[in-house]
Amino acid sequence: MSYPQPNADTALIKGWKFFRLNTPLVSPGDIYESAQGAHAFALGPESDISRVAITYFDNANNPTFIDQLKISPDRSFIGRIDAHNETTYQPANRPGRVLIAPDNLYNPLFNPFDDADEVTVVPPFLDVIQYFTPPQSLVTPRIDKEFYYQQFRKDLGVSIVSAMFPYFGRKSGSYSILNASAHAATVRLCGVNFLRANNAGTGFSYGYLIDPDILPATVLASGDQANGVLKESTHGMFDYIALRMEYSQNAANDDTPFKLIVSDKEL
Amino acid sequence: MPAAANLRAAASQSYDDLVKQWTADTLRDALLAFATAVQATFPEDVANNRPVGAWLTIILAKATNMSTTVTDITASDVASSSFDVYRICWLADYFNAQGLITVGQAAALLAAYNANIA
Repeated sequence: MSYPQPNADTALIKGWKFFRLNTPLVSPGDIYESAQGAHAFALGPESDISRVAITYFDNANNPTFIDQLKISPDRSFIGRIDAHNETTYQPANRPGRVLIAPDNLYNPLFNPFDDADEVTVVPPFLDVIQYFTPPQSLVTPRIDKEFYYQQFRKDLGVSIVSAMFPYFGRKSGSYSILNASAHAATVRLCGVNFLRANNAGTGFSYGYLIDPDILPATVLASGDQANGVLKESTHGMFDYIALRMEYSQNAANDDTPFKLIVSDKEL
Repeated sequence: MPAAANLRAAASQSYDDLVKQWTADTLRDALLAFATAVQATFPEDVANNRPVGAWLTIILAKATNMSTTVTDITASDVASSSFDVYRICWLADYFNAQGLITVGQAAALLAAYNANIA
């Protein structure tokens, strides 16, 4: 989806009671608009983004007429917001409309393990619902999201691969890695916080790994597995989860099924 | 910081550059000058200009709402406004790469960044 973005007008004309913006982020600067007013905003079930900024027209906020609110899995917003297309934000002098943007820091340039030959970054989804009628109630935790990969991209001659999965605002999770290949593999799982800069302090580039690891480097013999849970109270909260897998032989297409389930529920 | 070579570089050095503006008591002026300089480059009547225009709207409004007493501008103002600059630079970089805005528009945004913030 992304750009050109879907139009909230179409949803309203078709008589729908809501407009759903459900898209993978194409850049850390994604921003979307709705020319329609709303009676509520909430995160949609598929969102990886945990905090969304809603910018709206506010007559009382002189001289810019801009105000902003944030929604999260724990806090939707119920209340009438008019788009005020007939007036303009100041000093930009651009028409009133509702602006929707992720408020989580995301930096796709971060490479969690410098030695990895292949890096897979799963982009985060933004899922926001704009209601055109007053909802009776809004309880909006996100669905438990499952990431499952039987293999990662691993060309012949490549021995180290890494993958990154969104975790923004999640409070618990579960991981399982099975080494179904014919030879040993070393696995490591870490939390990640992004940085905006490529020179933040002493050489940190676009992000850093949370210390200690969720799963410190562990050698899995053929047929072995590693399983565990993530808890907010134990591991904290962070932006992404990074997986590193190092294979002892450079064979292509190694089966190492990896399953990660992330949840908004506190364990 | 030296001038940014491209929009991604501008995004990644925006925090450092705006802290520099803050310590020089020029944060508000720098943000207003940056966004004002490219306002006309992204007219509203072209749909693909609107996302960049949306960030310009937010940057201009936040800067306008900042205190004109420079000592009242806080670290939170720097963090918030630099996040907006980070995001407009990233978005323009993507739009340029996808042909959704012109090379000239992206260059104008980078030039405005280097002239007013870097």
